[in-house]
Amino acid sequence: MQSNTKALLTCFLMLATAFAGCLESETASDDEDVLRIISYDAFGISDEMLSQFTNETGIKIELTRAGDAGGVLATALQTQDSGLYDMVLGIDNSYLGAALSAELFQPLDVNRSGLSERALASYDGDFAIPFDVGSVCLNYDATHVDGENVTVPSSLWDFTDENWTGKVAVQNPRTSSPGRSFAIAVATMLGEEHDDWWSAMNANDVIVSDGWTEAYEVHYSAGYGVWNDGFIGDAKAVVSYCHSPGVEAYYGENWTTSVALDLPGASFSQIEYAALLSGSKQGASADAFVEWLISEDINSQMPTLNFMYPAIEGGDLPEDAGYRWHSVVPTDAVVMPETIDAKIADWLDAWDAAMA
Amino acid sequence: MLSLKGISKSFDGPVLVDFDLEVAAGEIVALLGPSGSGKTTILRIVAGLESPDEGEVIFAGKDITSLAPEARGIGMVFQRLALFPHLDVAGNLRFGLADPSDEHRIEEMLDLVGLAGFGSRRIETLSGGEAQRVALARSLIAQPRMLLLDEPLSSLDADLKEHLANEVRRILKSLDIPAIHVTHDPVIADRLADRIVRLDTAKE
Amino acid sequence: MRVRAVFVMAWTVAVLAPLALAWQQLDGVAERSIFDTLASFEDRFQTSGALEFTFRVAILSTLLTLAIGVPLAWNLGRHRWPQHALLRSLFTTPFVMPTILVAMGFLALLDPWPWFRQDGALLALLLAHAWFNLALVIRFCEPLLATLDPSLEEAARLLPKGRTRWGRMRHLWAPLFAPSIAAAGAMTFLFSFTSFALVRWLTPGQRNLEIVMANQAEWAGIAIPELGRAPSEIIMAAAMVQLLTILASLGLISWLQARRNLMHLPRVEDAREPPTTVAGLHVIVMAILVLSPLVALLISSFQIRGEWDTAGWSAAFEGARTGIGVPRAMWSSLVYAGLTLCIAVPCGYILADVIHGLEKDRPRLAMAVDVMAMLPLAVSAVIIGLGVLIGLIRTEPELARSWWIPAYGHILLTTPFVVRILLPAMREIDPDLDAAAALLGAGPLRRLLRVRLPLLRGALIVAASFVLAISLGEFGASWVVVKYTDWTTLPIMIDELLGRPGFDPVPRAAAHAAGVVLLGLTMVLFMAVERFRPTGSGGEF
Repeated sequence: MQSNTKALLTCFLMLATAFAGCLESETASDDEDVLRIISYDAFGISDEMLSQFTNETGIKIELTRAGDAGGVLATALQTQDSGLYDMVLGIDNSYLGAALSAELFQPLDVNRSGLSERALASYDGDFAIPFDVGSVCLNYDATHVDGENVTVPSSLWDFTDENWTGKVAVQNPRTSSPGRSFAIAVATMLGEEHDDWWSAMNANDVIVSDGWTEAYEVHYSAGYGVWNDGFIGDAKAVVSYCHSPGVEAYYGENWTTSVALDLPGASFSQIEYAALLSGSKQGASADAFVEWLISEDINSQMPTLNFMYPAIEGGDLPEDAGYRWHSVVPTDAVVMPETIDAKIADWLDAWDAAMA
Repeated sequence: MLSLKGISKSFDGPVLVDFDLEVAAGEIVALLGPSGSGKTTILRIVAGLESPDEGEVIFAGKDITSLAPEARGIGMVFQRLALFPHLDVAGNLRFGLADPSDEHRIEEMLDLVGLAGFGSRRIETLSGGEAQRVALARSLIAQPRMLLLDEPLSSLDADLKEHLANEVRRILKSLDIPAIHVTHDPVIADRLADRIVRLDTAKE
Repeated sequence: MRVRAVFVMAWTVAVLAPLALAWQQLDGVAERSIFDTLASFEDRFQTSGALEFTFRVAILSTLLTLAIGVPLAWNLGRHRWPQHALLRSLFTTPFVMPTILVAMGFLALLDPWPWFRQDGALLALLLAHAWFNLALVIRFCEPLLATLDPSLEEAARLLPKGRTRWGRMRHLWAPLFAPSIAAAGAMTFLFSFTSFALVRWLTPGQRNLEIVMANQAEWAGIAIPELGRAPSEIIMAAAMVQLLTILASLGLISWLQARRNLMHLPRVEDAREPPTTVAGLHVIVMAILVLSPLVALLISSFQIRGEWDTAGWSAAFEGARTGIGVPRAMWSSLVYAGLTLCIAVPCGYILADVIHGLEKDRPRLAMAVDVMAMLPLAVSAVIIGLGVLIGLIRTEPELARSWWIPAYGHILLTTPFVVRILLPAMREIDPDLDAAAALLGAGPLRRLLRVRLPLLRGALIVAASFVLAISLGEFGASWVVVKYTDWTTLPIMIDELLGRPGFDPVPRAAAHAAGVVLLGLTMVLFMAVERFRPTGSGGEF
């Protein structure tokens, strides 16, 4: 090809892409009715449903996925007051204290009367509206706990004996929100002894992963991970949600060997919130979105979209395929966001030192 | 010393057909001919870098036709000189030493070729004539029983060519090493060699 | 000349500004010094064992890669293979594969042998690294092998030290190729040192510095002490170790390349010999091994819970679960790749040109510019991402929403490759050619278009293929948090699919399917372009 032609083509290509970019940003920059939301990666509401919302209300949604609940908070903090985002979805009650202290939010004007007691247990003010709930607790493989040599643990300390050596998987509380929730429950339940327990677990070869996915998929023997490439299956117990066995059954045609451990105090009621960021001017749109999110229609789908309990009164898991039957509603540890905010730094440092 | 009998070789077409050559002990023979006449091929067959399709190579009374080049004791100065770029002059010569205790011979050989003190010079800094002489020295230091020269002087200017041709002859004679010298230049052939063998295009 | 100086300045600012911003932010939150933090690495779970693991993996990977790669490069370069260009590009394609796909492919491949997941996990990682970096050894050594004047070997055979194969290996081949092999080794070290996806998936439970930094990245620079102090300190310490190590490697590579150029290696058009059976078997076996993870990935995309099922493929193409389907994502990937190409190649050209121009008179300045050009490879993406974000927030938050911001990352990461590829080619151009053209009356632009660029054609093609392939597989937008959903690229789509809990098996299979599409696209583009590269070109990247 002639070099002149080449040069011309290159210029054209550059101009074309620049032009295309201009076109694209034109259509998106009429931002009167755009709601920019930070959510966590696993957020299950599909774009179809969001489009439905847009059709009904005329408000366009732009969803940015920012890792896990911690990532959502961190992103919100990084971009505080910059006006880049309007809302957050997925900050849970283990992070809520920090968010409120940092004055991240503006109040929402939403009718909370339809929400359940459980959803409002940690916080019932205007700055954060719960949209789903779940209890973080240990799941164990029923085939391991066969009643002969190994019994169902009746105390956390049971996990530090030889039946469970190298067979328990937990998540790093600094990088995983279920991990964080569980660490909070343990600290609340065991009080001063909690770092002794962690040291004992460390000595008992507890498996620590950086994320829920790795612990559950790769290590847990009773989970769906058995179908995946790279499955190890060395853990017979894992920190997950008390309704995870239900989800397994739901997708596994009402069959699973995974059981949730119902140990009072060894679980954490994780409540996920929607909130309006301070500095946003989209209060009205945000109100509309949150109302939509906690409406009967949408919120009752949380178990199948987001794998969490609905936040509305009377909301429950579906009965199909044993989803509800296999799930446990435990007696959670009771700890308020303010307490968490005050003590979490020490708890995490203690964890770090115990597990090193 | 060397006898080529009935050598035939084809690549895409016949290059050599039933070629004979005799080289006596201590004799320098020039193979003179235009390009394509198979002169380099003859050298490569003698060295063992090519095998003839037909014919025999007898060297010092032994049939070496199928002997590996490493075992023949025959040295060669290549047209492109093939000096090792990662070694200096002394390093190149050292390549030709079988016995490490012969280090002193390097300086002797450099003297012989008129490059005294060039040991630590890098290859890329040598002029055409100097490089030529290093290549020669490297082949000679290995004490070959015969030396093959593939148009070694072709890239030099006229004065240098003649001068070096005389030098090479002198050195070969002083060491009493028989040689085959391939060239297309009749004047140089005359200077260097005892006897000239003409090769016309393709056949002999 | 002035234009080029300005350009180098602009590049330096583009690279250093985010670094400076990020560093300043981190420093503001951190309390302890880097030394103290490093000293206490072993006391905290988040960082214990990371330093040792990182170095161990990097060193062992380098050794294994060289052990596997050098014989292959030898066989490949010494013989004339049918479809030689295709073979060569096949072996170098692994290098431009997105690492997340390589991880998925190896998991799929090693699935039948559970040993590789527990005791053998480290070996699996090393093998994956070797697979990945094979290309470097081949790129650095094969072209030279294919065109080195055979007279050198023949001369050696007729001299005492070269009479045996071992003698030739020791006295001829090893010294001649040592600089190339060492450079390949140093680059392998660099990439193994900063390996992320492979370590995370193949050796879960082990952390290298890159993973440590990624874990802490969320909270880096956040001014709330309880949340941000420790992560900021850890990132500063880890980033410093990484930066110094990689700068040392880059310096070594630069020095080795320069040293190799001092040797005037006599080259011919084509020095290859006809193939032998043994060599042929070796090459075939290696080709199969190289293809195996990719084939494994392909197979796994058709399996759901152990049964053959195309649901993954349909989900991927329809985009029902993902919000965006493969066709749209592929288009976005191609647009970003094209944009990156248009900018990174000229950028890299100018930088290489500046370095080349300075080499003779001011070698130290040349080396400084060289290091500056390579800097993005040395700095953790975490830091650059943080800096870009902070910079945008402080100056023009709205810009963060522009569709082309992710391209910033693509460009920063691909330009160093362009420099590494073009620079040796520029060194080989006879300066007299340019002078001759000038004396014939050609002005600078004409000389550029008619003399310089045509002479660099081979290298430019290689550079283009690298830029395209790397950009296609780049998760660069993960740096900058604002993801413009309409412009989701294939890698981001895959990342999102993998990030969901896998109770429902279809998204996982869809991720594999999208991965196969990405793989195929990358391979096709890369190999198509590679075929136009002449036999002996390249050789220094």
